[in-house]
Formats: sequence, C-alpha cells, structure tokens
Amino acid sequence: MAYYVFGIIRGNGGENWPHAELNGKSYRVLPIETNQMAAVVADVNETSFDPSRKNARTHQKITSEAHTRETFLPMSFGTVLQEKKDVKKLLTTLRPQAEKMFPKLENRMEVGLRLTADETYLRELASRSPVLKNIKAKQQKKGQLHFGERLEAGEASAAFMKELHENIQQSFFKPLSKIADSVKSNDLMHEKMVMNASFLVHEENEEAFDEEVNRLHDEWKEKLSFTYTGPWPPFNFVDIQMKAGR
Amino acid sequence: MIGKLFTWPLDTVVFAARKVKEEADRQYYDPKEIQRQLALLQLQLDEGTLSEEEYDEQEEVLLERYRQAKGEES
Repeated sequence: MAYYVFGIIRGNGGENWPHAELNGKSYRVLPIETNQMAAVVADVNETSFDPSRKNARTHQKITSEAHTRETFLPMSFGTVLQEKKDVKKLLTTLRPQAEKMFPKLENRMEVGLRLTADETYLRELASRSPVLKNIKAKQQKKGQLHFGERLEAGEASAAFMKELHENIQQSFFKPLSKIADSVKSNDLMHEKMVMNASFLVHEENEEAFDEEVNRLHDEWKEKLSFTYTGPWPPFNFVDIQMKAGR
Repeated sequence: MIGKLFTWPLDTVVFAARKVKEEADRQYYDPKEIQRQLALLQLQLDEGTLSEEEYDEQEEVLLERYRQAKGEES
C-alpha cells in the first residue's frame, strides 16, 4: 500500500470523492486529515506512475474536484508516499507554508493563455524589418550565404522574435495584470508561440478577466491564435514538491 | 612527440564526440526533458497538428524512455 498525493486541502476534505484511474487501475480517493488540513490521496499499490495523458487527466480531474470543494494546494504529478505516517508528516511539514498560502489562494483560480503567431502575420512583420530584408536580399543575390552571414542571419532572426515576444507580452500582460492577482510567464513551447502565461484570478474578477481576453481576441485574432484554458487549481502559483518517501 | 602531434587532433575529436554523445544521452534520458516533450505532444494534439494515432505512437516511445530514465535514477 502507498499513497498518491494530489495536494493539500483546507478543512477535512469531505466525502464521496470520485475514483482515480491511474496506470489503468481504479483507486479509491480519500482525504487524510490532521487538524483542519487534509492531504487528498489515492491509496495505490504501486509507486511509479507514467506521465501519460490518461494519468495526467486523472491528476487534473481529482485536483479540479478538490479545487471546487475548498482552497486547495495542488502537488505536482507523480508524488507518492509509502505510508500513512509519511502523509501525516507531510502535512505537519507543510502546515506553516500552507497556512500562509491558503488566504492568498482562497476563492481564486488559475487560467492559462497561450498565443501562437499566425504564419502570414510573421511574414508580414519580417518583410518590414530592414535587417531581415537586407539579409534576404543578400541571399537572393548570392544564392547561398557564407558561414558568418548565416550566423548573422540567425542572430537577426532571434532578435526579431525576441522583440516580437516582448511587444506582444507587453500588450497582453499590462491589461490582464490589472485584473489578475498574479501572473506567471511559462516557457514557450515552439518557435511560433509568442506567449504562454498563467494568471491567478479571484472568482469575483473572472467575468472581467474573460471580457478582457475577449476584447484582446477581437483585436488580435487576425494575427494570433488564442488558447485560453481553465479554471484550474493554482498549479503555477504553488511551489510544493516532495519526493516519495521524504 | 611526432606521434603525439599526429594523434592529438584525433584524440580531441574523439573526446569532443564522446562529450556530444554524453550530452545527447543526458537529454535523451532526462525525465524533465521527456515530460517537456510529452507536453509539446499534447499541445500539437490540441492544435490539431497531430492525430490521435500519431499522438499515441509518439507518447508510447517517450513513455518507454521515461521508464528507462526512471529505472536508471533509482
């Protein structure tokens, strides 16, 4: 017997949790409580879980359920403890940190916004850049650039993309940060992605935030693709990581 | 001395190649890097640039590497 930990919930966690499908098996989910704070766990009979889509969906499903019940601090995927006493020890260790975080995360949700530049928009912008235009003209004239010129072209392209990221992030972060409590910029996952951010939003401001995203969408939809996701538990605003057995 | 002069560049190339391979292996079996690639796969599926079948195939390859990486870690 081991315990897969989804996160820490304020209060006792309540009853009737949905089952968790992990590694193709169905496991019971239950809260383990000590003094008005509980770890939401699945009692599992294995300790290693692949970061597969199915397992990740289960992690998301149970953490989202917890988030709808009470203020919840989600743990990262794959946290497993060997014994119940380890879970209790985890609660004791994290209590001071959790008590500080609960009020900051109370009635708040995380939403994600990813922006990908449209190919035509990128080409149009690049055609307006004097540096890139010059490099392109050189390439057309000579057929092939020599090593130094290729390096120069690479650097110019990187600088062009960096400036584009900064401009776009500024256009989005500024208005959205006024409504959100907090914002976190995440890694860009491919070369056309120009923004990947998470926002912590109070539920009272959810509508205003949605409206602002819609306004920005109307303004930028010809140039950028939007992926707006949530509401999620505040994964990117809680920094709790425990290794199994610790 | 002559021998050394002749073999030095070869040693360097072998050393550099070994270093490149070590770095490639490190990345290939780095669980965090594998998780990053899984997230990218999910993104491609969401954006419609990858089919369900392609996703499943590529996910299985990455998960196999992840298991090997975890096996080496423990």
